[in-house]
Amino acid sequence: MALGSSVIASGASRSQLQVTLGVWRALILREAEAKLFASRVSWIWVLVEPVFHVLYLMVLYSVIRVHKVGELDTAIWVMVGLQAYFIFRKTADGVANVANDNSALFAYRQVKPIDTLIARALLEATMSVVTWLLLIALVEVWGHPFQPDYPLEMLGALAGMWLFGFGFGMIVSALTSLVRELKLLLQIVLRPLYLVSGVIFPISSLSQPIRQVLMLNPIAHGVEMARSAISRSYDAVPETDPTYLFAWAGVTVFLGLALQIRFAFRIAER
Amino acid sequence: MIIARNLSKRYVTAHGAGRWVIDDVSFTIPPRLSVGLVGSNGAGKSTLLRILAGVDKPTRGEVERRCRVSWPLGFGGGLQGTLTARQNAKFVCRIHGHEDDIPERMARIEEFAALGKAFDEPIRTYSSGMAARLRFAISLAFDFDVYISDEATSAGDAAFRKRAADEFRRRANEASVIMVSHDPGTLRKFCTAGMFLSNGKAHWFDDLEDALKAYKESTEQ
Repeated sequence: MALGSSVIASGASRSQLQVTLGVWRALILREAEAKLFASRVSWIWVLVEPVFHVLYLMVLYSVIRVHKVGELDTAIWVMVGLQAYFIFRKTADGVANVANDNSALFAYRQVKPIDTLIARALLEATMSVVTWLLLIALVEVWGHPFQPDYPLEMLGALAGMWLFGFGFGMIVSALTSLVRELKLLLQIVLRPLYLVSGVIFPISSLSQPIRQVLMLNPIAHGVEMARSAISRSYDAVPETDPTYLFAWAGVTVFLGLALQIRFAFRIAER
Repeated sequence: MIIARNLSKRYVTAHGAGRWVIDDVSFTIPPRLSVGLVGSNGAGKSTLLRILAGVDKPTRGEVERRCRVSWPLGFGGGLQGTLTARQNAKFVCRIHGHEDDIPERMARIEEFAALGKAFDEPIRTYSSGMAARLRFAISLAFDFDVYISDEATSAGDAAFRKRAADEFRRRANEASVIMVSHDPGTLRKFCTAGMFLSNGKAHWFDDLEDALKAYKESTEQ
Protein backbone atom coordinates (compact mmCIF):
# COMPACT_ATOMS: atom_id res chain seq x y z
CA MET A 1 0.00 0.00 0.00
CA ALA A 2 1.65 3.14 -1.11
CA LEU A 3 1.07 6.55 0.28
CA GLY A 4 -0.61 9.11 -1.91
CA SER A 5 1.34 11.07 -4.53
CA SER A 6 4.37 8.84 -4.31
CA VAL A 7 7.22 9.86 -6.55
CA ILE A 8 10.32 7.81 -7.13
CA ALA A 9 13.85 8.88 -7.34
CA SER A 10 14.27 8.53 -11.08
CA GLY A 11 11.81 11.34 -11.65
CA ALA A 12 9.07 9.33 -13.31
CA SER A 13 5.97 9.04 -11.21
CA ARG A 14 4.71 5.54 -10.55
CA SER A 15 1.12 4.67 -9.86
CA GLN A 16 0.30 3.31 -6.43
CA LEU A 17 -0.29 -0.12 -7.93
CA GLN A 18 3.13 -0.09 -9.58
CA VAL A 19 4.78 0.84 -6.30
CA THR A 20 2.94 -1.92 -4.46
CA LEU A 21 3.70 -4.59 -7.06
CA GLY A 22 7.35 -3.52 -7.10
CA VAL A 23 7.50 -3.82 -3.32
CA TRP A 24 5.91 -7.27 -3.34
CA ARG A 25 8.35 -8.47 -5.95
CA ALA A 26 11.30 -7.10 -4.00
CA LEU A 27 10.03 -8.59 -0.74
CA ILE A 28 9.40 -12.05 -2.17
CA LEU A 29 12.85 -12.19 -3.77
CA ARG A 30 14.44 -10.93 -0.58
CA GLU A 31 12.56 -13.34 1.70
CA ALA A 32 13.36 -16.26 -0.57
CA GLU A 33 17.01 -15.25 -0.62
CA ALA A 34 17.14 -14.80 3.15
CA LYS A 35 15.41 -18.12 3.77
CA LEU A 36 17.10 -20.31 1.20
CA PHE A 37 20.60 -18.89 1.16
CA ALA A 38 21.16 -17.81 4.76
CA SER A 39 23.89 -20.43 4.89
CA ARG A 40 25.22 -22.95 2.41
CA VAL A 41 22.76 -25.72 3.24
CA SER A 42 19.78 -23.78 4.52
CA TRP A 43 17.84 -24.35 1.31
CA ILE A 44 18.03 -28.09 1.95
CA TRP A 45 16.69 -27.59 5.43
CA VAL A 46 13.80 -25.37 4.36
CA LEU A 47 12.58 -27.76 1.65
CA VAL A 48 13.55 -31.12 3.10
CA GLU A 49 12.39 -30.59 6.67
CA PRO A 50 8.66 -30.71 5.83
CA VAL A 51 9.23 -33.58 3.43
CA PHE A 52 10.97 -35.57 6.15
CA HIS A 53 8.30 -34.77 8.67
CA VAL A 54 5.67 -36.17 6.34
CA LEU A 55 7.71 -39.17 5.22
CA TYR A 56 8.50 -40.12 8.80
CA LEU A 57 4.84 -40.28 9.76
CA MET A 58 3.93 -42.02 6.51
CA VAL A 59 6.40 -44.81 7.18
CA LEU A 60 5.40 -45.02 10.83
CA TYR A 61 1.74 -45.37 10.01
CA SER A 62 1.91 -47.69 7.05
CA VAL A 63 4.39 -50.07 8.70
CA ILE A 64 3.11 -50.19 12.25
CA ARG A 65 -0.54 -49.47 11.85
CA VAL A 66 -3.22 -50.31 9.35
CA HIS A 67 -2.80 -50.21 5.61
CA LYS A 68 -6.07 -48.49 4.91
CA VAL A 69 -7.88 -45.62 6.57
CA GLY A 70 -11.42 -45.18 5.34
CA GLU A 71 -10.63 -47.11 2.14
CA LEU A 72 -7.58 -44.92 1.47
CA ASP A 73 -3.93 -45.96 1.33
CA THR A 74 -2.60 -45.00 4.79
CA ALA A 75 0.58 -43.45 3.44
CA ILE A 76 -1.38 -41.18 1.11
CA TRP A 77 -3.91 -40.46 3.86
CA VAL A 78 -1.15 -39.23 6.15
CA MET A 79 0.65 -37.28 3.45
CA VAL A 80 -2.39 -35.40 2.17
CA GLY A 81 -3.67 -34.64 5.67
CA LEU A 82 -0.32 -33.34 6.88
CA GLN A 83 0.34 -31.29 3.79
CA ALA A 84 -3.12 -29.71 3.98
CA TYR A 85 -2.51 -28.92 7.65
CA PHE A 86 0.98 -27.57 6.99
CA ILE A 87 -0.15 -25.10 4.39
CA PHE A 88 -2.42 -23.57 7.02
CA ARG A 89 0.10 -23.76 9.83
CA LYS A 90 3.13 -22.46 7.96
CA THR A 91 1.23 -19.64 6.27
CA ALA A 92 -0.40 -18.61 9.55
CA ASP A 93 2.90 -18.73 11.47
CA GLY A 94 4.87 -16.95 8.79
CA VAL A 95 2.30 -14.21 8.23
CA ALA A 96 1.83 -13.65 11.97
CA ASN A 97 5.54 -13.04 12.58
CA VAL A 98 6.85 -11.49 9.38
CA ALA A 99 6.02 -7.88 10.26
CA ASN A 100 8.00 -8.23 13.46
CA ASP A 101 10.99 -9.80 11.72
CA ASN A 102 11.03 -7.17 9.00
CA SER A 103 10.39 -4.08 11.10
CA ALA A 104 13.68 -2.61 9.86
CA LEU A 105 12.14 -2.30 6.40
CA PHE A 106 9.43 0.08 7.50
CA ALA A 107 12.11 2.77 7.36
CA TYR A 108 11.20 2.92 3.66
CA ARG A 109 7.79 4.49 3.30
CA GLN A 110 7.03 2.33 0.26
CA VAL A 111 6.93 -0.76 2.48
CA LYS A 112 3.86 -1.20 4.68
CA PRO A 113 3.41 -4.06 7.14
CA ILE A 114 0.67 -5.62 5.01
CA ASP A 115 3.10 -5.85 2.08
CA THR A 116 5.43 -8.07 4.06
CA LEU A 117 2.47 -10.25 5.11
CA ILE A 118 1.23 -10.71 1.55
CA ALA A 119 4.72 -11.44 0.26
CA ARG A 120 5.24 -14.06 2.97
CA ALA A 121 1.90 -15.73 2.24
CA LEU A 122 2.77 -15.98 -1.46
CA LEU A 123 6.19 -17.36 -0.62
CA GLU A 124 4.73 -20.01 1.69
CA ALA A 125 2.33 -21.07 -1.07
CA THR A 126 5.25 -21.43 -3.48
CA MET A 127 7.27 -23.48 -1.01
CA SER A 128 4.28 -25.71 -0.38
CA VAL A 129 4.06 -26.41 -4.12
CA VAL A 130 7.72 -27.44 -4.12
CA THR A 131 7.32 -29.80 -1.14
CA TRP A 132 4.20 -31.27 -2.74
CA LEU A 133 6.13 -32.01 -5.93
CA LEU A 134 8.98 -33.59 -3.98
CA LEU A 135 6.58 -35.75 -1.99
CA ILE A 136 4.60 -36.85 -5.04
CA ALA A 137 7.79 -37.92 -6.76
CA LEU A 138 8.96 -39.78 -3.63
CA VAL A 139 5.72 -41.70 -3.03
CA GLU A 140 5.62 -42.63 -6.70
CA VAL A 141 9.02 -44.27 -6.33
CA TRP A 142 7.97 -45.86 -3.08
CA GLY A 143 4.98 -47.50 -4.77
CA HIS A 144 2.11 -45.47 -3.39
CA PRO A 145 0.76 -43.70 -6.46
CA PHE A 146 -0.68 -40.27 -5.88
CA GLN A 147 -3.61 -40.05 -8.27
CA PRO A 148 -6.41 -37.83 -7.00
CA ASP A 149 -9.82 -38.56 -8.46
CA TYR A 150 -10.79 -34.91 -8.06
CA PRO A 151 -7.70 -32.76 -8.60
CA LEU A 152 -9.68 -29.52 -8.66
CA GLU A 153 -11.30 -30.26 -5.31
CA MET A 154 -7.84 -30.98 -3.98
CA LEU A 155 -6.58 -27.60 -5.14
CA GLY A 156 -9.71 -26.00 -3.73
CA ALA A 157 -9.14 -27.55 -0.31
CA LEU A 158 -5.51 -26.38 -0.27
CA ALA A 159 -6.48 -22.90 -1.44
CA GLY A 160 -9.03 -22.75 1.36
CA MET A 161 -6.43 -23.77 3.93
CA TRP A 162 -3.97 -21.21 2.56
CA LEU A 163 -6.54 -18.42 2.65
CA PHE A 164 -7.59 -19.34 6.18
CA GLY A 165 -3.94 -19.38 7.26
CA PHE A 166 -3.38 -15.99 5.64
CA GLY A 167 -6.44 -14.46 7.32
CA PHE A 168 -5.65 -16.03 10.66
CA GLY A 169 -2.04 -14.85 10.46
CA MET A 170 -3.09 -11.28 9.64
CA ILE A 171 -5.40 -11.17 12.65
CA VAL A 172 -2.74 -12.59 14.98
CA SER A 173 -0.16 -10.14 13.61
CA ALA A 174 -2.43 -7.16 14.31
CA LEU A 175 -3.60 -8.34 17.73
CA THR A 176 -0.16 -9.27 19.02
CA SER A 177 1.13 -5.83 18.08
CA LEU A 178 -1.60 -4.36 20.29
CA VAL A 179 -1.42 -6.90 23.12
CA ARG A 180 1.98 -8.52 23.16
CA GLU A 181 1.07 -11.10 25.81
CA LEU A 182 -1.38 -12.66 23.39
CA LYS A 183 1.47 -14.38 21.59
CA LEU A 184 2.21 -16.75 24.46
CA LEU A 185 -1.45 -17.53 24.96
CA LEU A 186 -1.90 -18.35 21.28
CA GLN A 187 1.09 -20.67 21.32
CA ILE A 188 -0.43 -22.67 24.13
CA VAL A 189 -3.86 -22.75 22.53
CA LEU A 190 -2.61 -23.65 19.06
CA ARG A 191 -0.21 -26.41 20.07
CA PRO A 192 -2.86 -29.18 20.24
CA LEU A 193 -4.33 -28.10 16.90
CA TYR A 194 -2.19 -30.72 15.23
CA LEU A 195 -3.95 -33.41 17.25
CA VAL A 196 -7.54 -32.22 17.14
CA SER A 197 -7.62 -31.48 13.41
CA GLY A 198 -7.67 -35.14 12.46
CA VAL A 199 -4.24 -34.97 10.90
CA ILE A 200 -2.78 -38.07 12.52
CA PHE A 201 -5.90 -39.97 13.55
CA PRO A 202 -9.24 -40.25 11.77
CA ILE A 203 -11.99 -38.12 13.27
CA SER A 204 -14.52 -40.39 11.58
CA SER A 205 -13.59 -43.13 14.03
CA LEU A 206 -14.85 -41.09 16.99
CA SER A 207 -18.36 -41.20 18.42
CA GLN A 208 -20.94 -38.54 17.93
CA PRO A 209 -20.73 -35.74 20.49
CA ILE A 210 -16.93 -35.56 20.29
CA ARG A 211 -16.94 -35.67 16.52
CA GLN A 212 -19.36 -32.79 16.29
CA VAL A 213 -17.23 -30.68 18.64
CA LEU A 214 -14.03 -31.44 16.72
CA MET A 215 -15.69 -30.53 13.43
CA LEU A 216 -16.26 -26.99 14.70
CA ASN A 217 -12.62 -26.55 13.78
CA PRO A 218 -12.42 -25.38 10.14
CA ILE A 219 -8.97 -26.96 9.71
CA ALA A 220 -10.47 -30.42 10.22
CA HIS A 221 -12.82 -29.68 7.32
CA GLY A 222 -9.93 -28.70 5.06
CA VAL A 223 -7.99 -31.82 5.97
CA GLU A 224 -10.95 -34.07 5.20
CA MET A 225 -11.76 -32.18 2.01
CA ALA A 226 -8.26 -32.77 0.69
CA ARG A 227 -8.50 -36.47 1.51
CA SER A 228 -11.89 -36.95 -0.09
CA ALA A 229 -10.48 -35.41 -3.27
CA ILE A 230 -8.07 -38.36 -3.53
CA SER A 231 -10.62 -41.10 -3.97
CA ARG A 232 -14.36 -41.30 -4.52
CA SER A 233 -14.46 -44.31 -2.19
CA TYR A 234 -12.93 -42.49 0.81
CA ASP A 235 -15.21 -42.38 3.85
CA ALA A 236 -14.82 -38.79 4.96
CA VAL A 237 -16.26 -37.44 8.19
CA PRO A 238 -19.93 -36.95 7.31
CA GLU A 239 -19.94 -33.40 8.71
CA THR A 240 -17.27 -32.25 6.22
CA ASP A 241 -18.49 -29.08 4.52
CA PRO A 242 -16.38 -26.99 2.11
CA THR A 243 -18.60 -23.97 2.70
CA TYR A 244 -17.67 -24.00 6.36
CA LEU A 245 -13.94 -23.73 5.65
CA PHE A 246 -14.38 -21.05 2.99
CA ALA A 247 -16.70 -19.05 5.24
CA TRP A 248 -13.99 -19.02 7.90
CA ALA A 249 -11.35 -18.18 5.32
CA GLY A 250 -13.42 -15.31 3.89
CA VAL A 251 -14.29 -13.83 7.27
CA THR A 252 -10.74 -14.04 8.65
CA VAL A 253 -9.17 -12.56 5.50
CA PHE A 254 -11.64 -9.67 5.58
CA LEU A 255 -11.19 -9.07 9.29
CA GLY A 256 -7.42 -9.45 9.01
CA LEU A 257 -7.15 -6.90 6.21
CA ALA A 258 -9.37 -4.48 8.11
CA LEU A 259 -7.21 -4.80 11.26
CA GLN A 260 -4.01 -4.45 9.24
CA ILE A 261 -5.23 -1.22 7.65
CA ARG A 262 -6.57 0.18 10.90
CA PHE A 263 -3.39 -0.53 12.87
CA ALA A 264 -0.79 -0.27 10.08
CA PHE A 265 1.35 2.29 11.89
CA ARG A 266 1.01 0.58 15.25
CA ILE A 267 2.27 -2.66 13.69
CA ALA A 268 5.17 -0.85 12.03
CA GLU A 269 6.11 0.92 15.27
CA ARG A 270 7.00 -2.06 17.41
CA MET B 1 8.49 21.72 -1.41
CA ILE B 2 7.25 20.07 1.76
CA ILE B 3 4.14 21.39 3.44
CA ALA B 4 3.24 20.40 7.00
CA ARG B 5 -0.22 21.31 8.18
CA ASN B 6 -1.16 21.26 11.86
CA LEU B 7 1.08 18.34 12.73
CA SER B 8 0.61 16.80 16.14
CA LYS B 9 2.13 13.62 17.42
CA ARG B 10 1.99 11.63 20.58
CA TYR B 11 2.92 8.04 21.18
CA VAL B 12 0.94 5.44 23.02
CA THR B 13 2.86 4.30 26.08
CA ALA B 14 2.27 1.52 28.57
CA HIS B 15 0.27 4.02 30.63
CA GLY B 16 -2.03 5.26 27.91
CA ALA B 17 -1.50 8.23 25.61
CA GLY B 18 1.79 10.03 26.19
CA ARG B 19 2.55 13.74 26.09
CA TRP B 20 2.37 15.70 22.85
CA VAL B 21 5.85 15.39 21.34
CA ILE B 22 4.79 17.69 18.53
CA ASP B 23 1.91 20.03 19.18
CA ASP B 24 0.05 21.67 16.28
CA VAL B 25 3.02 22.60 14.08
CA SER B 26 2.64 24.05 10.58
CA PHE B 27 5.37 25.10 8.17
CA THR B 28 6.40 25.07 4.54
CA ILE B 29 9.89 24.18 3.42
CA PRO B 30 10.50 25.76 0.00
CA PRO B 31 12.45 23.88 -2.69
CA ARG B 32 16.23 23.77 -2.35
CA LEU B 33 16.27 25.24 1.13
CA SER B 34 18.27 23.18 3.59
CA VAL B 35 17.03 23.22 7.14
CA GLY B 36 18.77 22.21 10.33
CA LEU B 37 16.70 21.01 13.27
CA VAL B 38 17.91 21.82 16.76
CA GLY B 39 16.54 21.08 20.19
CA SER B 40 17.34 19.09 23.29
CA ASN B 41 17.05 15.31 23.50
CA GLY B 42 13.44 14.22 23.32
CA ALA B 43 12.29 17.50 21.80
CA GLY B 44 10.81 15.59 18.84
CA LYS B 45 13.49 16.16 16.20
CA SER B 46 13.71 12.56 15.07
CA THR B 47 9.95 12.17 15.30
CA LEU B 48 9.47 15.18 13.05
CA LEU B 49 11.99 13.80 10.56
CA ARG B 50 10.23 10.45 10.49
CA ILE B 51 6.89 12.12 9.87
CA LEU B 52 8.34 14.29 7.08
CA ALA B 53 9.84 11.17 5.49
CA GLY B 54 6.47 9.43 5.64
CA VAL B 55 7.68 6.61 7.86
CA ASP B 56 5.61 7.63 10.83
CA LYS B 57 2.07 8.93 10.85
CA PRO B 58 1.14 12.13 12.66
CA THR B 59 -1.60 11.74 15.24
CA ARG B 60 -3.24 14.77 13.66
CA GLY B 61 -2.50 16.90 10.63
CA GLU B 62 -0.87 15.99 7.35
CA VAL B 63 2.30 16.30 5.31
CA GLU B 64 2.30 17.02 1.61
CA ARG B 65 5.46 16.13 -0.29
CA ARG B 66 5.70 17.81 -3.68
CA CYS B 67 9.11 16.36 -4.39
CA ARG B 68 11.15 13.20 -4.05
CA VAL B 69 11.95 12.71 -0.39
CA SER B 70 14.45 10.15 0.88
CA TRP B 71 13.91 7.80 3.79
CA PRO B 72 15.46 8.98 7.08
CA LEU B 73 19.18 8.45 6.55
CA GLY B 74 21.53 7.60 9.34
CA PHE B 75 18.89 6.05 11.51
CA GLY B 76 19.64 2.39 12.14
CA GLY B 77 17.52 -0.13 10.36
CA GLY B 78 16.61 -0.66 6.77
CA LEU B 79 19.17 -3.41 6.45
CA GLN B 80 18.76 -7.15 7.01
CA GLY B 81 21.63 -8.67 8.95
CA THR B 82 21.65 -12.09 7.36
CA LEU B 83 21.84 -10.68 3.82
CA THR B 84 24.89 -9.23 2.14
CA ALA B 85 25.31 -5.57 1.30
CA ARG B 86 24.68 -6.42 -2.34
CA GLN B 87 21.40 -8.15 -1.59
CA ASN B 88 20.26 -5.34 0.69
CA ALA B 89 21.15 -2.69 -1.86
CA LYS B 90 19.31 -4.59 -4.57
CA PHE B 91 16.20 -4.66 -2.41
CA VAL B 92 16.27 -0.89 -1.96
CA CYS B 93 16.67 -0.42 -5.73
CA ARG B 94 13.70 -2.67 -6.34
CA ILE B 95 11.31 -0.91 -3.98
CA HIS B 96 12.23 2.39 -5.59
CA GLY B 97 11.27 1.03 -8.98
CA HIS B 98 14.72 0.61 -10.50
CA GLU B 99 14.39 -2.91 -11.77
CA ASP B 100 16.08 -2.12 -15.10
CA ASP B 101 19.21 -0.27 -14.05
CA ILE B 102 20.17 -2.31 -10.99
CA PRO B 103 23.69 -3.10 -12.30
CA GLU B 104 24.61 0.58 -12.77
CA ARG B 105 23.23 1.55 -9.39
CA MET B 106 24.95 -1.37 -7.70
CA ALA B 107 28.23 -0.22 -9.20
CA ARG B 108 27.65 3.30 -7.84
CA ILE B 109 26.83 1.98 -4.37
CA GLU B 110 29.76 -0.41 -4.31
CA GLU B 111 32.15 2.29 -5.37
CA PHE B 112 30.96 4.90 -2.91
CA ALA B 113 30.69 2.57 0.09
CA ALA B 114 34.24 1.35 -0.66
CA LEU B 115 33.78 -1.72 1.49
CA GLY B 116 35.89 -3.98 -0.71
CA LYS B 117 35.26 -7.68 -0.29
CA ALA B 118 32.92 -7.05 2.65
CA PHE B 119 30.30 -5.94 0.13
CA ASP B 120 29.43 -9.60 -0.38
CA GLU B 121 29.49 -10.50 3.30
CA PRO B 122 26.39 -10.52 5.55
CA ILE B 123 25.66 -7.16 7.20
CA ARG B 124 25.77 -8.72 10.67
CA THR B 125 29.53 -9.09 10.33
CA TYR B 126 29.88 -5.31 9.81
CA SER B 127 31.08 -2.77 12.29
CA SER B 128 28.65 0.07 12.94
CA GLY B 129 30.79 2.41 10.87
CA MET B 130 30.74 0.05 7.89
CA ALA B 131 26.97 -0.32 8.10
CA ALA B 132 26.59 3.44 8.23
CA ARG B 133 28.78 3.84 5.15
CA LEU B 134 26.66 1.33 3.30
CA ARG B 135 23.44 3.09 4.27
CA PHE B 136 24.83 6.37 3.12
CA ALA B 137 26.08 4.94 -0.17
CA ILE B 138 22.70 3.35 -0.89
CA SER B 139 20.92 6.64 -0.31
CA LEU B 140 23.30 8.46 -2.66
CA ALA B 141 22.47 6.05 -5.47
CA PHE B 142 19.12 7.76 -5.84
CA ASP B 143 18.58 11.34 -6.89
CA PHE B 144 16.28 12.66 -4.24
CA ASP B 145 15.20 16.29 -4.10
CA VAL B 146 15.27 16.30 -0.33
CA TYR B 147 17.50 14.17 1.85
CA ILE B 148 16.28 13.55 5.37
CA SER B 149 19.29 13.04 7.56
CA ASP B 150 19.36 12.05 11.21
CA GLU B 151 23.02 12.45 12.14
CA ALA B 152 23.84 10.64 8.89
CA THR B 153 26.94 12.63 8.03
CA SER B 154 28.55 11.76 11.35
CA ALA B 155 28.96 8.15 10.20
CA GLY B 156 32.21 6.47 9.32
CA ASP B 157 35.78 7.56 9.72
CA ALA B 158 37.22 10.99 8.93
CA ALA B 159 38.04 10.17 5.30
CA PHE B 160 34.57 8.87 4.62
CA ARG B 161 32.93 11.82 6.38
CA LYS B 162 34.79 14.18 4.14
CA ARG B 163 33.82 12.28 1.01
CA ALA B 164 30.18 12.18 2.13
CA ALA B 165 30.17 15.89 2.87
CA ASP B 166 31.71 16.68 -0.53
CA GLU B 167 29.15 14.53 -2.29
CA PHE B 168 26.35 16.18 -0.35
CA ARG B 169 27.57 19.64 -1.19
CA ARG B 170 28.04 18.75 -4.85
CA ARG B 171 24.35 17.96 -4.97
CA ALA B 172 23.36 21.09 -3.13
CA ASN B 173 22.41 22.72 -6.42
CA GLU B 174 19.64 20.26 -7.19
CA ALA B 175 18.93 18.81 -3.76
CA SER B 176 18.44 19.99 -0.22
CA VAL B 177 18.74 18.50 3.23
CA ILE B 178 16.60 18.47 6.30
CA MET B 179 18.92 17.38 9.04
CA VAL B 180 19.32 16.79 12.73
CA SER B 181 22.74 17.10 14.24
CA HIS B 182 24.10 17.97 17.65
CA ASP B 183 27.17 19.45 16.03
CA PRO B 184 26.67 23.12 15.04
CA GLY B 185 29.60 22.83 12.62
CA THR B 186 27.85 20.14 10.60
CA LEU B 187 24.65 22.15 10.49
CA ARG B 188 26.49 25.28 9.34
CA LYS B 189 28.14 23.30 6.56
CA PHE B 190 24.87 22.20 4.98
CA CYS B 191 21.99 24.35 6.17
CA THR B 192 20.91 27.94 5.74
CA ALA B 193 17.64 27.94 7.67
CA GLY B 194 16.96 26.50 11.07
CA MET B 195 14.13 25.17 13.16
CA PHE B 196 14.22 25.10 16.93
CA LEU B 197 12.02 22.54 18.65
CA SER B 198 10.94 22.84 22.25
CA ASN B 199 7.88 21.83 24.24
CA GLY B 200 6.19 20.43 21.16
CA LYS B 201 6.43 23.71 19.27
CA ALA B 202 8.64 24.46 16.29
CA HIS B 203 10.18 27.90 15.83
CA TRP B 204 11.30 28.79 12.33
CA PHE B 205 14.40 30.92 11.65
CA ASP B 206 15.43 32.02 8.17
CA ASP B 207 18.99 32.13 9.42
CA LEU B 208 20.42 29.01 11.03
CA GLU B 209 22.53 31.14 13.40
CA ASP B 210 19.39 32.54 15.01
CA ALA B 211 18.04 29.03 15.56
CA LEU B 212 21.33 27.96 17.17
CA LYS B 213 21.24 31.06 19.34
CA ALA B 214 17.68 30.40 20.45
CA TYR B 215 18.62 26.82 21.31
CA LYS B 216 21.68 27.95 23.22
CA GLU B 217 19.69 30.48 25.22
CA SER B 218 17.11 27.86 26.15
CA THR B 219 19.82 25.60 27.56
CA GLU B 220 21.34 28.39 29.63
CA GLN B 221 18.14 29.25 31.44
